[in-house]
Amino acid sequence: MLCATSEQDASTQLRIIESCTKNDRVKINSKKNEILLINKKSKELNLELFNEKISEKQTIKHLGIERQDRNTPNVVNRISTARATMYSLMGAGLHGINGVNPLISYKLWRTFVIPRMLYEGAAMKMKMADGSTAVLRRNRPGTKAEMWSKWSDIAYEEMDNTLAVQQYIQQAINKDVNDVEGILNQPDGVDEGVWKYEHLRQFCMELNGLSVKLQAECNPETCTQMTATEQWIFLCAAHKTPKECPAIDYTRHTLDGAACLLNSNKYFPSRVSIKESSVAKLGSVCRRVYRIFSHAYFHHRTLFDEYENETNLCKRFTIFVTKYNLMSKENLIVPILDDQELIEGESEA
Amino acid sequence: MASDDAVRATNDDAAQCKRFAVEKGYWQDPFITLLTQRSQNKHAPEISRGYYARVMAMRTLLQKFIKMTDGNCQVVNLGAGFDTTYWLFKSNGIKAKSFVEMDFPTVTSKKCFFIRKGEALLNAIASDEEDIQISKSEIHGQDYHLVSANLRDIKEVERKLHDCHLDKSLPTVFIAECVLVYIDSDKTKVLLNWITENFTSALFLNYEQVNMQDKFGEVMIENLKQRDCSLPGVSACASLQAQKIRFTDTGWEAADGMEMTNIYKSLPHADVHRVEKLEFMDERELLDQLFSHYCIVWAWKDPNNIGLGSIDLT
Repeated sequence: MLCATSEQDASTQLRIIESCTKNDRVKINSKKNEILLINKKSKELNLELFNEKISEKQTIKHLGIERQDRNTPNVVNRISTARATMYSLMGAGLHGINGVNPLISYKLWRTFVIPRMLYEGAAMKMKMADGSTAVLRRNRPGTKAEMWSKWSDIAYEEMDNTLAVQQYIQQAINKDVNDVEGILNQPDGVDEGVWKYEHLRQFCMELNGLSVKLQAECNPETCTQMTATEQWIFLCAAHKTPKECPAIDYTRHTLDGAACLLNSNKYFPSRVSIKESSVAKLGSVCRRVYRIFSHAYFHHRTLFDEYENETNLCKRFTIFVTKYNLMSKENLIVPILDDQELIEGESEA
Repeated sequence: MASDDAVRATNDDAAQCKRFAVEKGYWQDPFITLLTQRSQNKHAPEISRGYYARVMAMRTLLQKFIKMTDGNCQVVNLGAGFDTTYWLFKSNGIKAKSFVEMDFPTVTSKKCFFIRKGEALLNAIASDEEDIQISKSEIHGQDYHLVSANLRDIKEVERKLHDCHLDKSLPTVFIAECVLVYIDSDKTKVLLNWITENFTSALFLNYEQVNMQDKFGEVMIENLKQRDCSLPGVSACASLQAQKIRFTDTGWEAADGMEMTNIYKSLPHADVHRVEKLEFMDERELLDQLFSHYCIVWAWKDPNNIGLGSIDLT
């Protein structure tokens, strides 16, 4: 396949083919060539290969994919191609019952079916129904740092996907990480359970950032146990028998455990509606991950301050758990808010 | 106070006697071995049988209370020592919302150490909801709390119970086994008053000496004195009546009680038969004397009529 932007360009490329084939002594069937003019008003083209005029077509099939001169996707056609691909792979074991391992099935499906369905789309410009161009809110590979997540805001009501709440929260954070109240301001129409769940999910994701920083100076030799104030040791719950893990291990294990719980099919099968009994699980996740803040604050103060200045994460977390009654005040031992009562010693249970 | 150490030593004694009896087969307790070392001494069959009666009776009463409240209750063991009831009950599926054990820091720090070492003990405390939190002498779990406090200091008791997040409106049972007798009567009054003033529904189970004004009692007091262990609360152990009055005078609705002699007779006969065959006993006289000098008294405060008054040993 040759791609050209002008008639002259095409003509040059055809001459190259002629000379190359002559050198290599291959012959091309000059009668089988076709031209597809994309997104251009059709006009008389004078293109020849071995003195044979190439005719212009409105649709061309290439590698089993039909392309049209308007470059609009033929959705029905695409889907039926995908379906046909599925069928043809069934002989190879791509089916649910008695088929190959589901993981392999998924790989086959991803490698063979999806590309054939979307192939044409790669060259397409996304258009909204009203003709305006849609904003694709993705950080593609190669996105420059200054362009990271820099797309225009969208109102919550206009987010029409199942991850809208997450999208909304992340949009608010990107907009202004210092506007803690704004980030925690629950829009109308969002279920409170979902709102709490999505925020906690976001906190856990961002806490991974803190734990990466902690790794640099919180090591098992110096912080042999998970402590905040000196009095209490917290046992890590990630083991068959609760274990006195070093602080950094506690941090990793606890974030892993939180991710497992928040993604578990049993307790959180949906991100649109959440059972009351599952919402009740959030409090204990909060109490556990909060210990990462308190350990960082009491034992790695410089690092904590650096991260907090950048993210306001502990402040946001403290306001969040207070607002939704997920932790009692006396457990919030990091003095991060101006009006936070300081409690002598630490008490938790 | 030198005598406080002696009081603490009574716990080691009791735990070893219990372990000895358990190993003889008097009752089952897989957890006591995790909390005590094997004792050097042999104990007389009378001692083992005495502990058998005490353990069975206290457990029966506590179990009745937990069943009556359907587990929506709290247990506070004052001067708990190395008591294993929490683990025994939990392994049999008998659960309360909260199980608090309180003792001197020297005792709780030892218990703390053993729990940290004993996998089975830790596993029982572990829960999905809450991490276990441990200090040198205290533990907080989801439904288990081990705290150190001096029972003579009501402010400290109050603060430590607050740390356990007790719900004062939930039915709560307080247990004391040979504890109040070591505390000044005035201080005990303050403690018992504090309970009735703060908890809506409460039950108190007290195992202790009784009929201490006779010769046997005199000898016992003398013996303990020689071990530097005085009994400032012994005035309440003069009679069963005196034991009950201690409660009715401090805001409890009513109190009832039995001497161990009668309690022993009320225990399930088949099991008592089994136990009596374990060790040969020359004569019953000493055992009878022992039993007539110990009693269990239970007192209650039940404004919502959940039936605390109906708990007994029959």
